[in-house]
Amino acid sequence: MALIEINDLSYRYPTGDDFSLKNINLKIEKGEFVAVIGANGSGKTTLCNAIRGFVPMFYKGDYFGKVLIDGEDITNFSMGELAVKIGYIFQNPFNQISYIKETVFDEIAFGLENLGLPKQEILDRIERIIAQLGIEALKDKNPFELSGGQQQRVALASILVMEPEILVIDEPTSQLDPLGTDQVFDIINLIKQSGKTVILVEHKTNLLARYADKVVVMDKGQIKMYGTAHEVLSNPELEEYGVVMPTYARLGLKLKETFGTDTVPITVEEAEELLRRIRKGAVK
Amino acid sequence: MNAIELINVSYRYPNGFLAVDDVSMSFKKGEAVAIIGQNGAGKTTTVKMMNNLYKPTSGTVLVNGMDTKNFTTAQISRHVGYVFQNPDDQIFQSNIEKEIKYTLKANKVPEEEANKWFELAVELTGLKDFLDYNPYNMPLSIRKFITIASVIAYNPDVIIMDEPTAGQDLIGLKRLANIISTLKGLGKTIITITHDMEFVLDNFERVIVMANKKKVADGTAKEVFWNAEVMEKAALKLPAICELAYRAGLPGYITTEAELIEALKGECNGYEQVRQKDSDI
Amino acid sequence: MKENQKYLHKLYPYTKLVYLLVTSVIAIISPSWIYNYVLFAILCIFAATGSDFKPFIKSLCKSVLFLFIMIFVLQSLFRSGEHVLFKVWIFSVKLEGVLYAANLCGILLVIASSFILFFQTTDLQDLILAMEKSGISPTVSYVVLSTVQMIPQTKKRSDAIMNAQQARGVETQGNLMTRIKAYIPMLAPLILSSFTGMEERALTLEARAFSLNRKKTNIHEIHEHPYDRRIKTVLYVILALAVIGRLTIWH
Repeated sequence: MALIEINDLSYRYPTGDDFSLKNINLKIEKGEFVAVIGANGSGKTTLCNAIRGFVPMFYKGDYFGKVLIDGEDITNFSMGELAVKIGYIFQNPFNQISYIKETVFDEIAFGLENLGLPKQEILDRIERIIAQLGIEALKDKNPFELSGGQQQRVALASILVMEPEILVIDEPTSQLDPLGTDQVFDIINLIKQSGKTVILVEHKTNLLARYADKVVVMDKGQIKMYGTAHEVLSNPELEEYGVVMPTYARLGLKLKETFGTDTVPITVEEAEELLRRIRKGAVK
Repeated sequence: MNAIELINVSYRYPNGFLAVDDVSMSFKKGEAVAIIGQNGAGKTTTVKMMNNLYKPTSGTVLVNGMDTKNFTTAQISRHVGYVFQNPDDQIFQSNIEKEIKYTLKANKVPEEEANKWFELAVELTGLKDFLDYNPYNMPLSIRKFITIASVIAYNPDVIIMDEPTAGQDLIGLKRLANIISTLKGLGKTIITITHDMEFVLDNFERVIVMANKKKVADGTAKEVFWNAEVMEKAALKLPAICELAYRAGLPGYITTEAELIEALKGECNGYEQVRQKDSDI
Repeated sequence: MKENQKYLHKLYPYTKLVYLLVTSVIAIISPSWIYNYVLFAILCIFAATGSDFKPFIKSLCKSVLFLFIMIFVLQSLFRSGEHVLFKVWIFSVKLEGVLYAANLCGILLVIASSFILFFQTTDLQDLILAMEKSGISPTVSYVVLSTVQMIPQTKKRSDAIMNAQQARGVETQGNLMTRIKAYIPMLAPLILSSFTGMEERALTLEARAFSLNRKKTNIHEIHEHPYDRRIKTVLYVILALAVIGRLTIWH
C-alpha cells in the first residue's frame, strides 16, 4: 500500500472561481522523493496543502475525493495530529518564525513543547538536530536577526526535530540567495539520505534533478506528466507547461541531434560522463 | 552624458557599518547590465544610491548629470525607477489598473504620454486581462509584474530591478527577457540584480560583480564567468554550461550550448567517425 | 529564568505584581505628597541594589520627565490661588499650583517607576510562563508575546515601505500637508500585507502542532520560592496597614 494515496481529488478555495485541483490521482511510496513542478498558479501549493490536510481543514472550500495517509483518510485526523506525521516548510522564511521565542534554541523547541514530550528528550533532540544541520552558531541568536537563508534552516530544523515521516517542502529557496539555496539543499540532501518521504516543490530544476526519484508536472490544476526524474526532466514537453528544463537535459537533447547519443543527462555528473563518452568515440 | 555615474562612492550606515567601499561605475543609455554577488556584498546598497534612497557618505552619484545630494528621493526617482524585491511593500490599491496608474499620478506624468506608457507597461507584463483583479488574489510572481508595470508606466530613463527572477516560472522569465530587450531598444537603461546565472547569460551583455563591499569585475559575461579569481572572490557558482565546460576541460570560454557543441565537435577527432559508428549500430 | 545575580530579577513574577499593586495603592491613598517622594526614594534604592539603576532612571526620564515639567509649569502658573511665590514676566507662580503639581507628580512618579522597575526586572517570557501555570490558555499567551515581538518588526517593515513608496515618487519630505498625504501609501501596504502574513503564521503554528490537544511541556521552568511567599505576605500586611491607617489615624 502506498504511504500517500490521492484519489480523484478536486478542490476549490472558498474565494476561488475555478477549481484549483481537478481529479488528481497520485500514489507516493514510502521513502520516495517526489518533485512537483509547474507554472505559477498550476496548483502545486494547493496540492501540498491537500497532502498536509490544510486543505480542507484550514481553508475549508469545496472538497471532493480523498487523500489517504497509510490507508487512512486525512480528514479523520485533526491538523494538530497530522503535525506529528507530516512536516511542512514553505516559501517565506520570515513567517515561519513562531514570533514568541527569543532564541533559535527555544524556537526549535517550540514544536516539541507542543507535542508534550519530556523535557530531557526535547533537549536531546534539539542538540542532535543542531549538530546535524550545522547551526550551532545560530543557537542563541534571536530568530529575527537571521538572514533569510538562516531562518529557512531554522524552520527546517524546527520541523525535522519533530521527526515526521513525511515532509512537504514548498519552494524553500525561491526567496534565498545562492549561499542560502546551497545550505537548504544540503539539508534536503540529508533528508533524502535519511530515507524520509519527501514532496518538494521547486523551480530550480537543475538542483532538484539531483534528488528527485519521481517528478510530477502540474498545469491548471491537473497532473500532466508523471514519471521518473529522467523520463520527465528530459522531455521537451516540459516547456509547454511553463517549466524550465534542466540545462543539461536541454544540452543533452542537442547532443542527441548532433552526435546521435541516446541518453539525456540531467545532472552535471551525467553530462560530464556523456561528454567523455562522446569524445572517446563511443556513442551509446 | 552617462545616464548614471558613480564616482568613488562609499556608504556607511549611521551605526558605523560600511556597506559600500569606494565603488565607481557608469551606465549609458540603452544598456542592460546585470549586477551579481552574494547577499551582503553591497549590491542593494549601491543600487539604492542610484535612485537617491541613500545619499553616498563619500563620493558622488550623478543621474543625468545631476548630483543626487541636491535632490530628494522622489525627485531623482522620477528619472530612476526601482522595482523592489518585495512587491507587497508597494501594493495598496484595490485593483491592478489603479495600482499601475498610481505611480503615474505620483510622478505627475502628462496625460498624453501617460496612456501610451500605460498601454506598453500592461502589454509587456501580460496584465491586460487582469486589470480589474485585486492584486492580493494573484500569486506573488504576478504581483512582481504589477510593480514592474507601475515603474514602466511612468517612463523613467533608468529602471532598476531587484531580483525580479526570484520564484518565476518559464513564462515569467521569458516575459522578463522581453521587457529587458524592449526597454533597452527604447533607449532606457536597465540595471538588474539577480542570482539566476542562466538568466544573466541569456539577457545581459554586461555583468558587474560585487564582493565584500567592492566592485570586483565589470565586463562581458564571458570575461566575468571565466575569471576564476573573480568567481572565487565573489563566492558565486558558475552557470551550468560553464561548469560543465570547465569540468570537461573544453577549450575556449564557453558560455552557450552552441559553443559547447562546436568545441566538442572540434575535439572529437573526426566528427564523422562518431556519426559513422552510430549508423553502424 | 535568565541569569542575573541581582535579587529583584530572581523574584517570581507574581511577587513583583503584588509590590506593584501595593506601591500604586499607597501612592494614591497617601495623605501628603511627601510620603510619595519617600516611597520613590525607596524604590530607587531597590532599583540600585536589586537591579540596574542607570537604565531605570533613563526609562523614567524618557517616559515621564516631560510630562512632569508640563504639569509643574501649567499648574503653578495657571491654577487659581492666592499665595504668590514669585513672578515670571506676566505670570505669577502660586503656592497652590505648586502643591497640586507636587501631589499629582508624586503619585505618577511612584506608579511609573514601579511599572518601569517591574518590566526591567521581569522577563516577559517568565511572566507568561507564570500566567500559563495559573491556567491562561496558550492562545492568550501567544497573542501577548507575538504582539510584543511584532512591534519592532512592524517598525522595520514601515521603514521599508516608506523607501519603496518614495521610490515611486511619493514625496515624504516637505510641509505638513505633503507628509499627511503620504500616510495612506505608507499604512495601506503595511495593513494589507499583514493579513497574508497572518495566514502564513497561522499555518506555521499548525505545522508546529500548536493546536494539538495535549499538555504542553516547557523547557524553561519557573518556581515560586519560600522567600516569594514571605515577601508577598509582608507586602499584603503593609498594604492592609496603610489602608486601615489611612482610614483612621494617618493624615
